[in-house]
Amino acid sequence: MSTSSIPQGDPGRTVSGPDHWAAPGAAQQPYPAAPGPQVPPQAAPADWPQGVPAGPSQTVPGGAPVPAAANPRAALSIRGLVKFFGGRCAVAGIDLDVPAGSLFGLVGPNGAGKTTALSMATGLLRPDQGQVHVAGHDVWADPAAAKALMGVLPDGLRTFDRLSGRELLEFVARMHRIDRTTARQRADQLLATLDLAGDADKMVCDYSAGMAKKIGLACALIHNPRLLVLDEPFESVDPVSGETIRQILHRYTAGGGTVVMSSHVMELVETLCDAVAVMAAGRILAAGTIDEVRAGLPLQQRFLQLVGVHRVGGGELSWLDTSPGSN
Amino acid sequence: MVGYLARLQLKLTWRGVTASTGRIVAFAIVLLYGLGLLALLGAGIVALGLDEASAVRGPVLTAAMAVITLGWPLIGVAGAGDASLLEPARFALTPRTGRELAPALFASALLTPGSVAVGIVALLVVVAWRAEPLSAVLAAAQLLLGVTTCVLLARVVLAALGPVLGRRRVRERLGVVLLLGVIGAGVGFQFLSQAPVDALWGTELLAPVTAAAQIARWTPFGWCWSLAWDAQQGAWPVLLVHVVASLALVALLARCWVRLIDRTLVNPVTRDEAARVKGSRLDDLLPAGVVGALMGRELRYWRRDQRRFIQLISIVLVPLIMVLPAVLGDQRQAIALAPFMCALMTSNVSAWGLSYDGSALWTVALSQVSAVHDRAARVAVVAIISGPVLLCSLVVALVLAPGYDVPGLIGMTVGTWLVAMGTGTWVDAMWQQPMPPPTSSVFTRNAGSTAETFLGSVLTMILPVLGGAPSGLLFILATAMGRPALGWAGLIVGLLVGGLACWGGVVLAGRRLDGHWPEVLAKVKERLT
Repeated sequence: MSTSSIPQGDPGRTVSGPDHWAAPGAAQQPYPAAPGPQVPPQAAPADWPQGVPAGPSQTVPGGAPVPAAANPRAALSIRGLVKFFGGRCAVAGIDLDVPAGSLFGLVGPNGAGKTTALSMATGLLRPDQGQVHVAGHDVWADPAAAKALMGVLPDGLRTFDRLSGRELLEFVARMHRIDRTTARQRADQLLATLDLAGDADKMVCDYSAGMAKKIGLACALIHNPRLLVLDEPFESVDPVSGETIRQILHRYTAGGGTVVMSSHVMELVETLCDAVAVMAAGRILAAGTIDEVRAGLPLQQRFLQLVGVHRVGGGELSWLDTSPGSN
Repeated sequence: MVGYLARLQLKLTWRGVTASTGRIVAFAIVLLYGLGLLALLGAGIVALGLDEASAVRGPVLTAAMAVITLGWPLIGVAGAGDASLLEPARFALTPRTGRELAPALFASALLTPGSVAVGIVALLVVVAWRAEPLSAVLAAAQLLLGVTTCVLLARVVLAALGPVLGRRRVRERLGVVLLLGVIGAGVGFQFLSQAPVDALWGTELLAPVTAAAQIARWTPFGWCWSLAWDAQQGAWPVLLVHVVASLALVALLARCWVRLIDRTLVNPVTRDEAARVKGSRLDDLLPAGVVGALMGRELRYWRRDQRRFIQLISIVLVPLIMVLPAVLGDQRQAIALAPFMCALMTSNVSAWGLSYDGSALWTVALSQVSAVHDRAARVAVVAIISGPVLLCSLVVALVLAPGYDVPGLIGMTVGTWLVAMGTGTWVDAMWQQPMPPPTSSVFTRNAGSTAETFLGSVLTMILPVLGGAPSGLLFILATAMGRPALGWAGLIVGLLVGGLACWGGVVLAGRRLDGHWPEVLAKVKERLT
């Protein structure tokens, strides 16, 4: 399958190499973005291994840590992001810098806070504390400028699924102020590339899960944003379409675009991304280039080492040891 | 398993009602309203126990209960089944048979609000027969047999039609059918309420009711409900036949249900073939900018989302229900209220757009478009849809009910319509609730959610009444005093107040949304309601 028909890159985008990787776990004092519960400065538990070097927090005279300023050169810069749901802390004060032009993976076990963090990073969920900047624009203080630079594929949210695939793409494009003719052209190209041309006139509510994921990705791409935030973009997608999406993302980042994607599949992140952050219990345990984070191990093993693995043994689930009816 | 599923059914109902403070309040209000209706109904049924009503007691109660027995499964079908605990397909992956599941599902079905309501009505029937001990005992037996028949019949019909009802398009169309049925019932009720009380009790009505009851008692819907009447008449062989027939019907329904559950357990999923959307030149007719894009989407949704389509029907039919009986009676002048009612309904149509869009709103929230544009586009679409209806109703009112001050009537109607669009879009931005996703029937909702929608709709219509009051007052004065100047003043006031309210609603609602998209998204995110 060819990807030659995908929209051309934004001429304003420039290729830039990684200049500052993520800044995890440093002790710092989050500063409020909205009224809500206060959390203590982030500190990893003693049994959690250290990730990449400490972040850019500083200490003012008197010893109180202050949050580091957002990195204006980063495509996505997160500082002190905190979110509580009731009494449960979903995101416990994370710092992250995603350099422009990178393909950044966010991995973590179920309930780690990945979707919550990405929702706050994109403006879909208001954080209790912290700041998010997209190419220097504050997502919460200057949302219009930040939204113009982002393409988002959220997880668990519907689309306007009573529109056909083509209508949906054209609608999203026009919502990003792309003229009707260009919107139509880009929609046709994306539909063809993602193997949805034959279903372009079907309503999205009749799409399979994989097709819905692909049309969501097309919606995120159609205005050629500088930053793509993709929550589980390969979930439910068949291997052929998966390969097409890989090619699209590589081409996109080669043109200077930045991708932040979450995934549970370590092999995927290891082969696709050039940087990764490991998240668990609302905190970033490690972040950096793939090689830095995996520290000589396969990413899967390193992930389990960081997050911890629950080994099933002893009498636990012993009733599973013998299958009923087997000899 | 019986106890477990019954507890689960109660728990799910309770959670639905107590999901939020607003829902609790709304449910309490609707519950009071329902209890009031039940009290009226109860008073009527108990009154049938008086000696004076002994002749009509049997026919009326038998016919009424037979109608309930027939209507319940029909309402269930029109509501496209249910996605609740009672759906046997949910147990497709468990190693249970229909015979094992049926008692538990039956117990759960008995605890639904519909079953409880039928049970209460059947209990009132027992009270109505209090004067005749043998009939009262048989009425108690009727209660058990009747409620069992109702529940089983509904379950069997729903299970038999399950493969059809599982299809999205069928579900959606049946929703429209149910709405039309409810509206038809409303019209019928209005006609009945216009009839003199004497007619309800006199021989004019008694004869057809008795005839209907005579037919109903020999149908499966009336077998079990005519036992007390049979005893009153001393028709012992008939009574025996009805008892045997009722028991046989229950046994047959139970057997059918078990078989249908077994069938569902191995065929749990049905799916429509995807339909293609015809291309249209709609976008070419709309403005080229973002407002045009938003209008295009909104117009398509009014056509393709049956929940919206039902709202569209209500703009036309609800005012009709309210004024038609009066017009057909001797109060023809009441048709002047029809355009005003249309205008009021417009507020309700505007008010739940965000809730119906649900979490798909993230597309708008993350776009480069201000919510003020979104509000303007939605108001424009509501105007395009409701405007012609309003115009038609105005013309019809002026033709059929001459003598009103024309400028005043136009001022009151158009002014209220404009206020309704403005306040409706403002309420939409202020008050959202989770709705069932568009793929499910609009009627598959729990009591708490329905109550919240009902209360919200009523409150939403109060604002345009207030906003339209000045022009309405001037219209009344102009007509009553015969002073056209007041009518012209009403027209000017209506347009000014309406225009201001419409503009203010769009701007205020847009600004509110621009600052609160995350909160709105959290409120509208779909879940089982």
